[in-house]
Amino acid sequence: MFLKGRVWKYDQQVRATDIVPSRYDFLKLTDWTECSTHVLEDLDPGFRTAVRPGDLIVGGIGFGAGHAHYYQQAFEGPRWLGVGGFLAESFDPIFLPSALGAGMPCWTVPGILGIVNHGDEVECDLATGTIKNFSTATTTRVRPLAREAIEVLEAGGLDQLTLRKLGLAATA
Amino acid sequence: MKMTMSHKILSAATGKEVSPGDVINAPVSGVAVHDSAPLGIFDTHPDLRVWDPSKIVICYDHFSRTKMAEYHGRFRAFIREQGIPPENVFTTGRQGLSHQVPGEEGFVLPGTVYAVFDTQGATLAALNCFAFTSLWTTPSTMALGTALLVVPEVVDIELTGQLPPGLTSKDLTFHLQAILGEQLAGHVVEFRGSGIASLSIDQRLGVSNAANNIGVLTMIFPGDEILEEYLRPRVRAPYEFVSADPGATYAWTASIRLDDVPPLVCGPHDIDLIRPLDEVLGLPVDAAFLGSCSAGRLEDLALAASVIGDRTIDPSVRLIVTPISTEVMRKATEQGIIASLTAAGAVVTPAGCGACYYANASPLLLDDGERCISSSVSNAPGRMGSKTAEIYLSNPAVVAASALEGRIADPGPYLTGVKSLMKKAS
Repeated sequence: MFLKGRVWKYDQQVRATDIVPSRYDFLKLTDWTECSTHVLEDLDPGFRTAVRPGDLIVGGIGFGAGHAHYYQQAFEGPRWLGVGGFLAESFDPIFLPSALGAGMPCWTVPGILGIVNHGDEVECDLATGTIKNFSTATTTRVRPLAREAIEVLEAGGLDQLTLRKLGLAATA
Repeated sequence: MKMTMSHKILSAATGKEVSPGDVINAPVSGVAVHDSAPLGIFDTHPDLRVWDPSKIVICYDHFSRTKMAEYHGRFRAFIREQGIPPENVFTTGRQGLSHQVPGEEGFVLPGTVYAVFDTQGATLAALNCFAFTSLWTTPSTMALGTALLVVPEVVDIELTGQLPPGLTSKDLTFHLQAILGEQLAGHVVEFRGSGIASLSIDQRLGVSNAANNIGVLTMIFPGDEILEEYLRPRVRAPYEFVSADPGATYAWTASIRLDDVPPLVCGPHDIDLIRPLDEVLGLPVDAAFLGSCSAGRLEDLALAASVIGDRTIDPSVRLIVTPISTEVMRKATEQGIIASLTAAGAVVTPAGCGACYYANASPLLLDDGERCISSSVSNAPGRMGSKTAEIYLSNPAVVAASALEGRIADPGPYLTGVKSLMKKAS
């Protein structure tokens, strides 16, 4: 499984409420198109208009942390903008299965902040743990994403995988 | 290999030795969901069945203002369709929080993996188990009986001594968050040490409750006689405590002397803004909330009642009290705590999450520019009503003293044998 796009790197902990500020509470309003217009609104106001499909958000430790109330908007907002995945030094342990389960690639890569720069064009091979950086013409080997996680992503999310395991038809 | 409690529990559940970073599908011993949890694939696939109806616990606790009829109807249908036993359903009249009631009712056993939809699901890890928040993966977990987890690294924290009078799990967890928060992110905490014996189960549940705020997956306590006594009349099956092997490998270790924990508050607007109580003393408050999964237990209500005594609250303050569960409501009534609080001018609501979240049915909603002192879990803007209202989080004694004075107050003068929660400058 491959991710290919430009890097939007933030050398800090990117919390769930940094991705979509808590003043926009989408818990009872699942309008992800509206939600996507607020992605990184405070941290990087230029992001929304410049992001391209496949681009990757890269952050430091504890990516996605915060009150879990805000997790869903933190992965649905970027997804609706076409963000291809999240890479981080480490992830919040509740955010990670939730985002991954929703089919959003989340890859823990210790040292990632030193491997890529803001704006680099990269290609990630999740299964082999290879990051090709076209901007710096370097290739870095890191720990692959676990097979169990790739299985979830390839199925289109945990719900789809669950239905398949139980022999039920996928959701249309 | 010498193992931590977490790695023992997850290895036993999966039947293979797990290591940090592994992605696993861990068999769970049970799943608890509350009355506004999404049912996901169960809504789209009427032929889908839970893996074991006897292992599902449904707790009515949020009582969402807007969706109560709709959601509760959906849950009644789900319970019926799935054959979930009525004794597993804690509906109106038996209601309480989904991360409290499964413990009170003996569904949660030491040494097991227990999934809770709610964001504060780690609370139940105080009962020597791997309890965690399954959130959006919950429908899959209910269908398969397994949870998608990333095996975390474990931090060992030794607790010694005992908390000063008038301080609670609230101060201890703010202290942990303030001094270790960043380094703890993404880990699991396991406690050990002589200080644990000074913490009641109510306090331990309050400590583990803070896992999500601190950014850890769960915070597990070891078993001891106090837990044994709590579990004995409750558990529905035999169990064995799980303990870490001597010499187990931890990411790192720390030691905290409970006597050194200062009185702390958190906020406003930022869960990481932890400040000494004396920094905010005297700020006028419009509202005070005592309750939530963080501090709505019997000991919390008793502490607040002991601060209030036979006084009445400041007439400009609305004090709302919401016990965490029907069991706590019953015991607080039997012990005269509810009578003291209502005599003081508090409104006591049925058990539930209450004013902690604005969409719940509660008489407390904050207006623009108001300030509230609350024992609950979140101070995010808009969490209890207006986005411009300020929420300060504190322990129940501070909530009670502030309600008496109409401003954030030191409960020390109201507690027998305590002059001030603030230690004298040496």
